Amino acid sequence: MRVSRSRTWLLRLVGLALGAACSATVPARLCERRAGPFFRGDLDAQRALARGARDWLDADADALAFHTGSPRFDGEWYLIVHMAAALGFGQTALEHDELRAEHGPLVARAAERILGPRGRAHDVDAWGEDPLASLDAPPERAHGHLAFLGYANLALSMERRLGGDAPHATVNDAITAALVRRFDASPSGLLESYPGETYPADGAAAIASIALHDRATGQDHRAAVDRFLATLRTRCTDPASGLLYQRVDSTTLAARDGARASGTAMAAFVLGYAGRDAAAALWPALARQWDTVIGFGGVREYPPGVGGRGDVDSGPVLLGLGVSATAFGIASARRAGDEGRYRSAFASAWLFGLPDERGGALRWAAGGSLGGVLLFAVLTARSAP
Amino acid sequence: MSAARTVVARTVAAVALGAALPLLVQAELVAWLGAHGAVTLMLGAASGASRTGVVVMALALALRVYTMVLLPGLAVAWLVTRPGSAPEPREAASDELTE
Repeated sequence: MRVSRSRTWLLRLVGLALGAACSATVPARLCERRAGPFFRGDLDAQRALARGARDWLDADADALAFHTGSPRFDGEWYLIVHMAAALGFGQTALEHDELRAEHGPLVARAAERILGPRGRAHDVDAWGEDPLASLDAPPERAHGHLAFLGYANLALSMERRLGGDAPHATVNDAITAALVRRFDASPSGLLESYPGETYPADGAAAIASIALHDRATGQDHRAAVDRFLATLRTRCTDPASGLLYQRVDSTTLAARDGARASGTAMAAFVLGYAGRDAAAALWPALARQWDTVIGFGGVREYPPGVGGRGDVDSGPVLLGLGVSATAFGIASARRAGDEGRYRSAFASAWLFGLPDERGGALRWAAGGSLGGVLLFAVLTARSAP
Repeated sequence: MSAARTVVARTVAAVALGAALPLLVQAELVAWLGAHGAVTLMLGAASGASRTGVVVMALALALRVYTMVLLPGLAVAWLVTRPGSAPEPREAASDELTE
């Protein structure tokens, strides 16, 4: 009788152990099994993502309502959705010529919305002046406006990179020229996003827009790009972790926030459009921050030994892994050719993104417009398109 | 015969309540989120059109983790420890004899 009871308990223990082992290994494998076609950039995989993202561009712009509780963040998210859409549709058109006819007009539509009043309202509110009306201001007196100009110009440069008659070429030229003048005149080498607020990642977006513009037009602003990258490396990078400081002092560039993975991953994402070398410098630090929880991969938001909670930049931080850093990190993993890390983060996106596949489109029910379009852009990111 | 019927009924109930129902509810919630606009969690605190949206999103994510991560493990554990896997009475009797 004693043996029978002990056998039952043994069986239960074995069942528990096998069940735990199964949960710890099988789900991640199941979730990442679809990653291959996305990593390789297969046409059907990219087309499904594009169809899902297109819903948000086809919808009335008023449907893109955000309710963060802050008009500034609402405006930023509206801008980022359309910047990500322009990058996603543009880079997939460059990767697959078959998509060019369909995606070209979508890039132009995203650019059109960015240049509308709603795309820059957050910047106008902060500075008390229209960033587009300030382009001709003398550089020594001009404000940075990087919460709008860099991201908007990145979308416009992508539109330009597709070739043909870019509808916003004149604005693209004007913003690029203004940004170059302002970076050249800046004593610190960086520009402000908002009054008294300087974020290296926003500067990276602006510099990437200049480099992509150069690639599209044949102009040469390498000196400005190289100077910014040197400043980023020597003044804005935490020597211990290799991560960028999230925010720096506008004058001295002293750290005003800690070294964080979300800002670093976003900077690496946008710098990928400036060229492989520009973004590659940040990849080792991001790769070191990579971690997995029962096979689901992600990027740790804070350096080792530093704790912290989630905020509007990082998104939710779950078990130390930041949602935003992980999402942007996917782009760097693809560019670096690191399929293992790409697959592990894809597994996390597949689990928490609530993928919804219908009618040949892949939508992400958990992401809404921002998450859905951003995943489209990062999953299809490629180097220096 | 009646014991076997009980086992079958319990199995059917367990599969229906433990697996089929959560999968069905999750699919409905995802469809609802698609139709009503999801809550954006990606870059900040939950931001949605309504409190209902936040609740639906939380429930859908909880069910997603349950069905994708916990359920496979529970299924394996159940298969190993289900009544048919326990020592049969005759086995148990022979165990007793070996004591």
